Amino acid sequence: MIRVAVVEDDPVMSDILCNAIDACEDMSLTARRDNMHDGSRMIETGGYDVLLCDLGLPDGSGIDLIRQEAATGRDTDILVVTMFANQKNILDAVRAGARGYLLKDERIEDCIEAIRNIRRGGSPISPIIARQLLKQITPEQANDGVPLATPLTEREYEVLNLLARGLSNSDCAEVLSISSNTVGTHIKNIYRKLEVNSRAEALFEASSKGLLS
Amino acid sequence: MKHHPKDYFLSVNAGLAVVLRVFLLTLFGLLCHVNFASAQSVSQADVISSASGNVIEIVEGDYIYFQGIEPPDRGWEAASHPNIDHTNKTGQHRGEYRSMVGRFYFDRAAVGDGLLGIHTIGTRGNFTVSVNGVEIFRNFADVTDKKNSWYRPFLVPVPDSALKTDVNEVIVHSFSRKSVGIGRLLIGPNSSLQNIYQSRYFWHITAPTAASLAMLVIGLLFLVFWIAQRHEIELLWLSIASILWFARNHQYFSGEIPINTGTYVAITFLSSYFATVAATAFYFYFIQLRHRKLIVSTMLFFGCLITLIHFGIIRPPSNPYMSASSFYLYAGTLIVVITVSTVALRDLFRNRELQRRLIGLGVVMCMPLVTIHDVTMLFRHLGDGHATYLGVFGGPTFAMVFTIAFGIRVLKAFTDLGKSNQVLETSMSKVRAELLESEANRQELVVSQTLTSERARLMQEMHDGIGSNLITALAVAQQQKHPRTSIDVLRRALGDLKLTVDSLEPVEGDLVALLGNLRHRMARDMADAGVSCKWEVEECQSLPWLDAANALHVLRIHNEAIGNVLSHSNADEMRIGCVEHELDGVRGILTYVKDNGDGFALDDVTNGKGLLNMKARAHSLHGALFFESEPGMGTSISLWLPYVREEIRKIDPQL
Repeated sequence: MIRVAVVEDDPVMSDILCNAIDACEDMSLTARRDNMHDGSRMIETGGYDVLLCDLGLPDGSGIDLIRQEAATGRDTDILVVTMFANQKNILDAVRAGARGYLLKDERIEDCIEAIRNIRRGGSPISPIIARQLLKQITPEQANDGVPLATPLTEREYEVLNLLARGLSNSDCAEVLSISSNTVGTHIKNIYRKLEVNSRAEALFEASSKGLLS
Repeated sequence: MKHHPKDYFLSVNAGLAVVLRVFLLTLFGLLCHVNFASAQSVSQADVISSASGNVIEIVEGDYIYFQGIEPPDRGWEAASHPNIDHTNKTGQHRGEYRSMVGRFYFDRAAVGDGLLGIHTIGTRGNFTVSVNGVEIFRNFADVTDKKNSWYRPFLVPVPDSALKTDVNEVIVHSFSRKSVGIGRLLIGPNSSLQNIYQSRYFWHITAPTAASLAMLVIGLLFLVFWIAQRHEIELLWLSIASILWFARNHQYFSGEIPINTGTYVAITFLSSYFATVAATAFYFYFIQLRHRKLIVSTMLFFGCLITLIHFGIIRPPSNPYMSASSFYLYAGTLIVVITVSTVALRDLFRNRELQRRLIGLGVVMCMPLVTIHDVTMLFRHLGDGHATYLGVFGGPTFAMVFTIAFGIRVLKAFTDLGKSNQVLETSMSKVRAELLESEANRQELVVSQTLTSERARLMQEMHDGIGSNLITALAVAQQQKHPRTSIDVLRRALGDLKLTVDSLEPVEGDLVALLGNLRHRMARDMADAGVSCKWEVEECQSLPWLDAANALHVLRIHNEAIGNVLSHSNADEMRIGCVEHELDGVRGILTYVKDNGDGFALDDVTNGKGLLNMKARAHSLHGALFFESEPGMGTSISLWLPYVREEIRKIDPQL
């Protein structure tokens, strides 16, 4: 049973999601909030496996909620509910701790599948985001970003490289002779490393500003 | 005067004078031996012929010197005339009245007919003239007047009533607190003397007054200029030189001593040195002589020493021939003049600038002339009325030459200024043009940045506004089971919005990532349509010109192509790919969307709206669109895009 919590301010969208989740036998809706304040209190309580979070909440940014959730250290999978999956939003969310995203216009069954998928350990990625990630974390191009504290494995790097060239997960699996799910897992791991790195960066920034120690 | 009559110089100058006089005496003696014969009762005199009768010049007389003003009866001593008693000659001190009375006799018959006159120049201080015991002239109103008459000519008409037909006695009584003496004395017809007198008056008084006043005005003007232009130190030197020279010249033309006699003497005496130094300083600054500051400072320091000596504050070892202050002043002046003349002479040969040559000549000619005059005349103070000093014009000439030279320089500077203004203006306009250009570039950049950020803002608006409304509408339509056509319209609108959003993603010309993203977005549609997709991309370079607007064209062309495959082709497989391809010798990328569907007869679709749109977009991308289809053989749409666009290639053929 996958316990799902939803933070979404658009009532129509929220209804669709919640109804669909409720209708699933393997899922249960544990909480439904429509603003940041309530969402934050919900996170304090916990009690869910997957958090669906919209970014544009009326009283703040969903990014902060994601960060709050990630900071609890629970084994929660966070999915961003977004309209276009444009790279800035997704990357910000990933750095804050998100592991995937749902597109608002996606068919609801795809959304439910994405929730299941993330729970199985797979994350989605678009070629443009893959490309951007490659650009930011590849050691030889590190001038644009900070090299990861935990570098990508060779396989993760290969996956990212293929995805950036527009290959689908299954294309990629075929090329690398692995399963599609494994591709998703690699992506999820890449996301995790990114999040850890961003936390390390924040820590470094804080300590260099003298807030810690 | 305080400075001693300089016997040393006197011996030189007077020596010359004596030689001259002996010569003249011999000459006139031979000519007028009659006068010599009757010399028992008349004073020895030279005779000067004139159209209106003889004029005689007294060359011998009887004199009494004494302290005070009232003359005693006895003590006459014969001496040659003119006879000047300089201060201290007889151990007198300035400040006490002294007198000299001269007595002369002349025969009425020896001079021409008509009204007689007595012409005298160089008679010192206050004086009276009496004929046969009757006073006929005095140059003062009150005994205490401080008359300055050493250089001044006087013409005294002698009333006939005062004259005897034979021998007449003339008594001249000069008294003063400084030098006394009786200068040149001419007796003759008034009309003849008038000419001599007027000429003398002009050269001794009128001309020096005018020249000196003009110089003073120039000096004051330059002082004003200097106050306005403090960095032009030459102006100050010129001004000081002119003013000091006026002070020095004052004793020539002034009939009266306007201030305390001692002060007046000090000023006239010292100013001659300082005027020379100031003029030298002007010249040295004008020609930018090296070490000028040091040289001028040294000269001024020496001047201060002379001043201190003059006022008796410093008493250097004295000299048997002249007072210490005079000795040092003349020695100093001589050194300054030698220095400046040497420099000027050298500069004359070195520098060919007009104003430099002019001033050099002025210095070389004037300086020694003036100084020789100054030294000899101020020394001798003979002032017996024989000499007309050119020196009094030296200063004004100097000032004039300097002014002209300076004027030429200023004029030249103005001309140069005009020229440099022109140059400046040219370079200014060049700079301005460059500035305008860079400003235009900046504006362009600002505009493009504004456009970008505005586009991003618009996108955000669409994202938040239109996008979320579309999504809500779509959700509602789906929930309420609206007809599929309306749902498709909403989907298409949303899809187009997504294309727009994607076109804005920064991909740095990476066409593959852009197309990959499109494929990623359409993956679900492809799956729904039952079309499998083969992704056949090869490594391609990036397209430097692929900005948001162009990316949107690319995305729309491919969206349309893929959409056509999904909607109309009945295909079950489609291949999307890109490959490097040269078209008409131009390198670029060829992308394609091929399906294995029904295909079309070309004529049916050539004029289709969709295809025309795609062609138009390809054209605006500077690319080419190729459409291949045959019934039963599937369809292929390819888009060729150049790596470098035509207009860029024209600018840089290297590419």
